[in-house]
Amino acid sequence: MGTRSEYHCTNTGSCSSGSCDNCTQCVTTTVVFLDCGGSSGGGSTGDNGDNGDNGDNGGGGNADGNGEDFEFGPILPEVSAKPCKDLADLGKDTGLNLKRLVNDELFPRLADKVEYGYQIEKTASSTVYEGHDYFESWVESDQSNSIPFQTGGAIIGTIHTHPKNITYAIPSYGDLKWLEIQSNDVRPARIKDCFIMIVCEDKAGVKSTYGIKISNLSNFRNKINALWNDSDFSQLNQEEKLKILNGLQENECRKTNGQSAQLEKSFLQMFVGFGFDLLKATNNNLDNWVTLKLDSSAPTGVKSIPCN
Amino acid sequence: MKYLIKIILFFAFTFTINAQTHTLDISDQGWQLEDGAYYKDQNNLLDPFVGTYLYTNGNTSLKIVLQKKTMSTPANNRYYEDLIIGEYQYIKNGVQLANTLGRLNVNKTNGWKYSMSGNNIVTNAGLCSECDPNEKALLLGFSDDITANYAQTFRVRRIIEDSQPAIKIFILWTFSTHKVGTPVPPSPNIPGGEYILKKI
Repeated sequence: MGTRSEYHCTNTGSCSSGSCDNCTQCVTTTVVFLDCGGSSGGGSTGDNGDNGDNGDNGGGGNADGNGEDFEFGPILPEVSAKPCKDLADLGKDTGLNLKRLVNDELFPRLADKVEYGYQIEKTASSTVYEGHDYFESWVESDQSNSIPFQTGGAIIGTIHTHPKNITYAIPSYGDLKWLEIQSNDVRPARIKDCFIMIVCEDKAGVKSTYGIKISNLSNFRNKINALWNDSDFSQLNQEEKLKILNGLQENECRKTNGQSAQLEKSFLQMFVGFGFDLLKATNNNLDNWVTLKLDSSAPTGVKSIPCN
Repeated sequence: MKYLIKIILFFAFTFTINAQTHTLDISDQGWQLEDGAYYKDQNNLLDPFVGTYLYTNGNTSLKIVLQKKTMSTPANNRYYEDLIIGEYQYIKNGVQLANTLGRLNVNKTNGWKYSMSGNNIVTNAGLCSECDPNEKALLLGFSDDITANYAQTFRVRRIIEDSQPAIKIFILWTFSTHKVGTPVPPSPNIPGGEYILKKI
């Protein structure tokens, strides 16, 4: 759904609908339905509490089922109702071979002192009605060994390494910021598909694959932007903000033993209530994932909840 | 008379700061910093990193100047911290690609406005796996505002190279981001990786 402006002439100087330019031309704005494509929409899908969320931002479906209600401000596009299962299913019957990408391409490169990564795209299927095609593309690093990821378009996610012994083995604020930018740049109907994955190895040599998906869009955007606009960081430019936020996260990671259990707890504590799910693959096929949540009764302080 | 006024103002300023702040060590910093805290380098762990350092390889060179800044504070003055700050000059094949050294001549109250800044001392047990057991390395932040990039890791280790004091730095640039259909953003001027810079 969208709006279309229609201009027409009048000599009376006023319009019963639309606004007048105080001359002889009136502008009438009408609501029109646009064919935006996308997957089936509709229905509220608010989640039920992740990292302290209340799951209140479901919705976004509309009459034509494309899930792109940008006409009505307060209603946000839907997010995934089952983030864990979505990642578990990403490598099933989609043509994506996540097992190969992670196990054969990224895990062996964790010892290299640069980041490597893939972008994942989702497009309307050229062969199956209402189906989708998925593509992965290797993102070449540039001359400085930095990889240029994209946002928007058909991209739904990225997978990249956090090199062993170079940086911490858990997602960063910068990774969350990428997901927030992606949620703004992608078509609203695609937000529920968006994710970021991190492939890493902890101090004990345990390799892990983490995923992050948005579970509460309003909380996610508000929290990420509240931190971004915090008065502690006023007068800092974008790079300086990312620099200091990365430094603050390093402060916290330094206090752990560098092993995944403590890093996970630390990460969840830092970003409690941020409206995303922290997910972790539990097998090498990447078709079985768990959601990690803080739980003071668990021995590590974090409990693993299998996908429903 | 002017001298007397300066002394009075100095003590008044010092008294005001002390009255409003409580002193902690830089190692007490975490994800959230306390209101009114002064994260002081109580054990002078930052001092050994101060200096001017130079890497050369043919016509390519990297010069880094690291200074200690005490009581850096953000614009809202919510807390204070001691930091190492730094700027650099990078020349590639005889062509100067970046020179920010002059920025150190400007006293900025917020040390995070300099290209390099930080105070995170790390050890083998923490975020410096390649450190020797008793070694203390320094993690700094590195923002390249010429090309709008920042480093995920900028680690500084003090070493001896050819019987000279030196630093071994490691730069890991994080991924950049651009929207589909827009140009790829510029790369950082300094390639990521490891460099050994001798103290000069």
